[in-house]
Amino acid sequence: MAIAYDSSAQGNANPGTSITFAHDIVTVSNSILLVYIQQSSSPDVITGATYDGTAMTRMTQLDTGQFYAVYGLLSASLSTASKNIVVSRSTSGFIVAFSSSYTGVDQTLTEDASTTADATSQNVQVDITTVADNCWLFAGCFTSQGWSGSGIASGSQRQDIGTQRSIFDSNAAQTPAGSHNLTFQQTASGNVECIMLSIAPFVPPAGPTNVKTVDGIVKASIKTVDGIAIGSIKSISSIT
Amino acid sequence: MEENIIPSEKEEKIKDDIQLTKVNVVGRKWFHCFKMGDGTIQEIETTESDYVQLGQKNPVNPIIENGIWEKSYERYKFDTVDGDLSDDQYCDNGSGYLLKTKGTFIQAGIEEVVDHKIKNIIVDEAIKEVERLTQPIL
Repeated sequence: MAIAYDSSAQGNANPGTSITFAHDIVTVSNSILLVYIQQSSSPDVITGATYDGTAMTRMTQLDTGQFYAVYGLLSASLSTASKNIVVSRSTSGFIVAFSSSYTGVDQTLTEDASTTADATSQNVQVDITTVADNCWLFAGCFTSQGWSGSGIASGSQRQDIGTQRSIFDSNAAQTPAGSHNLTFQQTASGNVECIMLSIAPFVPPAGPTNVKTVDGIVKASIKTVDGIAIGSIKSISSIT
Repeated sequence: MEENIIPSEKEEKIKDDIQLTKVNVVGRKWFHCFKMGDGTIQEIETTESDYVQLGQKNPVNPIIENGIWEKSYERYKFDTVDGDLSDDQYCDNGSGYLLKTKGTFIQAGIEEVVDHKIKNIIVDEAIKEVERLTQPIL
């Protein structure tokens, strides 16, 4: 099952101790909701992120003097109804939060791989070594100079504030597993701070050869002797 | 360190030594933010219970005539006349300071507010940074 982009949203406050905004998920199908958060100082004062009242899990973080974190939540807690995301910090200050949802994602809530970058150049390439085949790359980045165009050489910018804080993804499966990258483009040489992770695709569990599955769900089993079906075909609704 | 600052930078920093008045945090305030049909942003104060329910299951999101709800937020309430920070006031923010000058909120480190004055911040640059971040929404 291939990963696909679903929807995204954003909210910010200056100053604020929490920010609330809506994220409307279009489709829930082995989905993941990622929330990228930036506070404009360190240390970490982010106290959490919730979606529809459910606490999200911090997946990775970066402290460069500004603090960044990515939180995630899986299908079981997601809904296509309009729901709100709340991001909180322990002290009042600047909060930027971007959310993005994807379908067809592995449901273990562990990033396939993650990396961070704090580099100075006009174009900054961020490398990552994916573990699974057909991963997507997700990144939240800050540019000191402003993005040139969409800010990404190959991929998609999904949300932006002030052409300086943005989230991106590869908008394509990265195959095979191994070394991949995203390149971020500024208007001039300057600092790029980036937190990037790869999300693995959902892979239906492999069953025995006589088990028929649709999207990983067992729909029928066939009894055979010497390759000839002799038993009944047991079905559980809507065999396709 | 001071002797390494070139004269023009030093003059700019001295120029930004703005006198501040310290105020105290006495609670929280809650706001809804709407984008109006004419493109303007309208901020309306709300209650804690109304804000909190937004983050719970089955929220009732705020509505306004001729506009759409963009977001809501919580921020500090101060011991000032209107409960907000006015220009050239600041508060201790736990890990640093939150101050307002020239109409803009700026976060400052503990080394950047000394003797109730802004030190070592080039204010105009800090304001440009904040405006760049917040202009599209706030």
